[in-house]
Order: sequence, then C-alpha cells, then structure tokens
Amino acid sequence: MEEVLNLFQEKSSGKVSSVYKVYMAMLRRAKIRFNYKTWMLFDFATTIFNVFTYFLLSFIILPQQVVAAGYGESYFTFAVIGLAVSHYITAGLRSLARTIRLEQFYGTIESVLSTPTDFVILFLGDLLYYVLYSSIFLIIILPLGIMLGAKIVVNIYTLLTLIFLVLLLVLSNLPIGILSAAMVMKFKQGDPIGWALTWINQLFGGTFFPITILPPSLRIISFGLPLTYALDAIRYSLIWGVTIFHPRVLMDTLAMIIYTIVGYPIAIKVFRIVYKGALKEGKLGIY
Amino acid sequence: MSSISDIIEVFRAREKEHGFHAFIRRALASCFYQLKIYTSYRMNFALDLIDITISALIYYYIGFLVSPQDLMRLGYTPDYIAFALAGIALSRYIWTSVARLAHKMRHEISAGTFESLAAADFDDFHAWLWGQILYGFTWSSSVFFVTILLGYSLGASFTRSLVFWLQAILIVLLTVLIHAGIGVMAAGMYIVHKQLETLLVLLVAVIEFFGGVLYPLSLLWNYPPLYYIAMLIPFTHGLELFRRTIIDELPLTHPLMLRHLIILLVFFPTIFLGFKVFKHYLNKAKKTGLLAAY
Repeated sequence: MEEVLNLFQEKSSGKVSSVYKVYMAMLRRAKIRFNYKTWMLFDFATTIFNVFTYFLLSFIILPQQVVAAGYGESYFTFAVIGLAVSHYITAGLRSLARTIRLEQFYGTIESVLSTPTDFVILFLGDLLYYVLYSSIFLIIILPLGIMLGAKIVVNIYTLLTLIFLVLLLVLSNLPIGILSAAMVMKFKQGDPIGWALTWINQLFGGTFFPITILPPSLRIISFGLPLTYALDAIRYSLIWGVTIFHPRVLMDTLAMIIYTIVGYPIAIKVFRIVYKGALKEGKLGIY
Repeated sequence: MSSISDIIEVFRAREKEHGFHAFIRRALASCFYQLKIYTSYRMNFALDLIDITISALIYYYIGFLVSPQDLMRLGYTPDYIAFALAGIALSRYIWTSVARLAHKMRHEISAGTFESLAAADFDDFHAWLWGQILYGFTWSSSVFFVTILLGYSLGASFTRSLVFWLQAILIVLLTVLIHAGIGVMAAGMYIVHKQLETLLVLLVAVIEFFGGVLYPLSLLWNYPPLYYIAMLIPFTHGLELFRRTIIDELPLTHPLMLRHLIILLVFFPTIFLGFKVFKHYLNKAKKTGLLAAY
C-alpha cells in the first residue's frame, strides 16, 4: 500500500508512466475490496447457486422460444451465458459512480484530486479492477456451465471474439456510466441511475429470457441497450462457434460501436459541466 | 413513541422498569429507532420497491418459457408466476431472520455503540433483540405484501379466500420465528466469533437455493443427496406449506401439509435455544472484554 501512496505522491509526473499508474490504481482498489472478503464470498456463492438454479429450472422450460430467437435448443446454455456476461454491466455502468461516491463518502476525493495524478488515471484503474473482477465470474460460470451440460463452443476464435465483445460491451456502457457518475457528483444520492440501469438491463437486455418474448412496445427499450447487442453477439458466437465476421455478430458489433462513438462526447461534456460546477461551488468533497 | 427523544427517554430511564409493559416499550423503542434510520434513507426505500418490481417482471416473462405440463407433472399448478412469486415473497424473510441480526451486531460493534447499548441493558438484550426481530419482520412484510400484490396484478392465481390467507399468515409467522431463532443464535455467536458473518451470508444463499424458491423441489429427486439436504432445511417446509396454501388451497389437515408442518415444528425449539446461546456468548464476551472488539 505504501508503494501505491508513494507513486501517487510522485511530484514529477513524467517520471512514472501512466500505464503503471493505472495498474497501481487497479491494485489499490483490489486491496480495498479484498478486505471485504465476506461480500466477495457472497457474490461468488450467489453466482454459483444461480447457475445451479437455472440448471434445474431448464428442466421445465420449453425450448421453442429459445430456438425461435436463434440460440439453439438449450435454455441452460442461453441462461449461463447471460449470467456470465451480466457482471460486466456493473463494470461499465457503475465503476466511475462508485469511485466518486466512495471517495466522497470517505472524504478523500479532494486529497485524491490534489495529487499530480489525473483523476482519469484513478478511474481507469478502478474500471480495470471491475473488468478483471467480472472476468472472475466469467471464468467460474462458463466452465461450471459446460460441466453441467451447457453447449458452448470453446476454441481460440470464439474466445478471442468473446474478449473483443466483452470489451466493447464495457466501452459501450461507459458513456451511461459517466453520466451516472455526474449525477452522483451533482446530487450526492447514492447511485440511483446506476441502479435503475442495472435493473433495466436485467429486464430488457435479454439476460434471462429472449427479448422476443417481450411485447413489441417494450422491445423498443431492449434495442436501446448495448447489452442486448452484446448478449446476442456473444451467445450467437459461443453457441454456433462463429466469429466476429459472421453477419449477425458483425451487425451487433456495429450497433455497440455506434453507441460508443455517439455516447462519449455527450457523456464527457455533461461530466465536465457538473465537475466544473462542483469545483466552483466547493462542493466536490461534500457528501 | 413518535420521536427520537421518546426513544432516548425509554433507554435512559434511570429506574429499571420491569414487567411485561416495560418490556414491550423497550422492544418497540428498539424497533422504532431502526425504522427511523431506514426511513431517513428514502432513496433506499424507492430502490427496494423497484428491485421487487423488476424481480417480479423477470419471472413473469420467464413464466412464458416454462412448460405448464412439466409443472403439473411435478405436482404443482401450471401457473409459474404464482409459483415463483410465492417463493420470492417468502424468501425475503430469510435474510432478515437469519443474517440481519449478526449484520446489525457488526454494525453496532464497528460503530462503537454496542458497549453503550450493553451499559443500558438489564435483560440480556431480550427487549432489544425482539425489537430488532420486529423491525426485520415489519420490513420483510412490507416487501412480502408488495410482491403478493404485484403477483395479483400480473395474473398469478393466488387464493382469494380469507381463510387460506389466515392460514398462510400463520405459516409465515411460524417460519419467520424459527429462522429468527437461528438468527438470534448466530448474533450471539457473532459477539465472540467475528468471522461468522461470512458463514451466515453463505447460509442464506444455501437456504434460498435448497428451499426451491424458483424451481420445483421435486426436480431434486434426481439428485438424492441434494434432496435430503433440502429436507433438513426448515425454510423448505415453510415454503412448501405456504405455496400449497396460497396456490393449491390445501388445508393444514391435508396429509402432505401435516407432514411438512410436523417437520417445521421440530425446529420450533430453536427460538428458545437462540436466546440461550445469545446469553451464553454475551456473558462470555462481558467476562473476556470482547464486547467492543472488532
């Protein structure tokens, strides 16, 4: 921990590379989070029990709707991929808001911002931590699913496609995450937007059931969520063994890229306005 | 008891008030101060409501995928939304009954207020514990009613008979009391064994999984060891009794219901055992000075 502190205190900012600082920021968050072993254990236990629950549930589920949506005949495979990927939503949507909220809550946000290290570095470190933490779930869930009979095609091509799509999922959700963080900074009320979006994603993103079940009027919400495209692409790739170059996966990828390109300038502009406002009013550290 | 000053007055009363009336006053004070804390976080309340609604909607749509024939083959009515929401509604009591007290103890000990509570206490925390159980029950019941109302509005075929709802309330009370006994026991052990919270958190996940909240328990027949574990958990029997009451309208005199009721009643002594264990660990912590150690 002292090493991390010394690094952020470094006066000549050019002395340490930004990549190393991001790595150390990630390590800092990991060290803090690993102190709360209870909740980590709870997270893992709940996830494992969730996999078993959907495994049992799949015995009473009719495959017609899953087949019609193009995901093969196994509902369990469908659900297991949804469970494995859904954790990345937290990384994209809520990591920045969590960072700001925690630093505000513990009264450390002003100290953090007074160091020569840019806040973006700390944020990227946190984001990296949450992505890696979510990857632990993926690494636990997919093999467990395969052991229980999920029909997932694993080879170097599908794995590379999975990594690419997961990164794109996080990036395409990040603009909303930045907006959510701006709201935390402005209203200092937990992370209501982050919570609401996590739930909206769970319901409309197609994590537990194909979105084709939803009435057409509600399906419009699904098409506005990057998770819908990410899940569709990841499922299609892992179930049929296709790569990024398959037309359906390619279309989903394009949708996520558009989301990212359009979302960033808006999100960053809003964040800057809120951030500068908080600086001017001296309310940055107030929670 | 409407304001914080009333609650403080109850706890700072110089003369130790004994008798049933005084006990109720202290228990209510313990419940009200917790309610005051909760209602001061209005956003949390709104988030809890959204959480329940989204959960209900997710299982409403999953219900379209479930095979009604398979549900009937496994001994239930073909209505999965009623099946799942009954499970979700009752499972909301489990966290509050089993793990919340130990979680609350951790909060009081880490915030440094547990010793102050112990200094004002003269009945081995009985009134305080009952107040906390009452608070947990009040909170879970609110969530329970919202879940059931959502179920009705989504078309779940819950009973509309008042008699069966009274039977259901009786089953809920029994299930909650038994699990509260486990929770009081765990809270007592937590005073001395601080690592216990991890186990409790796991225990809640285990209880919810084996209880068959989202899937028919009969599916575990294919995995006999898992089925027997499920049978050893009181929640499994409480949930079966509750479901059969509000969905199938089975009276408690039905042989299937009697079997689950008898097994559930076997666990009834945990309520008394819970308070005994709590007292034992509280005295141990007082003697060894571990009361405020965190």
